[in-house]
Amino acid sequence: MDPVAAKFIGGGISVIALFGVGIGLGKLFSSLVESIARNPSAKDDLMSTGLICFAMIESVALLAFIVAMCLLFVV
Amino acid sequence: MIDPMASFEVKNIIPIRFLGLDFSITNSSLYMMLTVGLILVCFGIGTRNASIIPTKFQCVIEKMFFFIGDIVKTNAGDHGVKLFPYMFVLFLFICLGNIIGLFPFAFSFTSQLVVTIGMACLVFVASIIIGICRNGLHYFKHFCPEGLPSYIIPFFVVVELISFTFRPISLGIRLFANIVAGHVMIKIIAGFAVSFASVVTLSGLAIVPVAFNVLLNIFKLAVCVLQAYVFVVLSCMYLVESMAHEES
Repeated sequence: MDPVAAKFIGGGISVIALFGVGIGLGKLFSSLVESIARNPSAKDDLMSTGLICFAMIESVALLAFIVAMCLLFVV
Repeated sequence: MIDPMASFEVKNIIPIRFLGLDFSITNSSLYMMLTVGLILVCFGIGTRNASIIPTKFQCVIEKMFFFIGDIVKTNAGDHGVKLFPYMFVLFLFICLGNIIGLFPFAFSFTSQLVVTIGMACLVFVASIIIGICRNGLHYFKHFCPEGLPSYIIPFFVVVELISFTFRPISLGIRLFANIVAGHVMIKIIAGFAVSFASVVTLSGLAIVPVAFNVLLNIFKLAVCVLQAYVFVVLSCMYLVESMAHEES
């Protein structure tokens, strides 16, 4: 295979990680909204925990981004 | 097409060599100095005539102070008060550095892996030193809790060690990747605007990427503050974890 084409295909494949990230973020925020609706007085605590979890899940997506950028620009 | 990675290049502005080491002032360190200077000036002006009835500027300063104070208090409890000055400085430095990087033609030093991993490693090393100073060799019990069946201990220790050493890397890469991803996205979409505008029949469509970029910049502003918040909360948790071992 042409190495340049393989590079671009690899960059595309690396973004498949976003599939899992989407599921994770959907689950996180659905349960966050649900728990705030059940107990609105705990909103502040839940929000800060939710934001930390959000950042952790998002870092998976960003690792995929780094892999894609390394394939496109560095290799 | 313009290279979207071009704005992350570190340029040497004033070359200084001292004792064989490179102390040059680059655009990265220049923006760090700018950030620190801005923090010092703002806090200097804000607290110059500090009074019980605060001025508007003093209100802002106090609000930031209590914001970080609350983070440290909820995560670290009462014995975490000693962490507050470091966490406060860390938050201001990262947050302001991220926001300064949002300005056009500005350089954001948090988009350099060496800066973010450096800050994360500082927290990591500090947590190890605090843990060993406070708990002595009991600190290493953390990697091998009691009451585990003996055949599972080797696996557990290896997994714990890996997750422990991955902490500074994930802490640094999270901040770095967020900033870089945002900047690259803004630049790529700005590139769409340029390529739309260069075609005569489509030049009206160039407004769409520009409008999207405005929204993206607002989102980036939120991400900048959020990432500084997350960095501070996580490093606070890591430091407290090594401090709080003494009860057991």
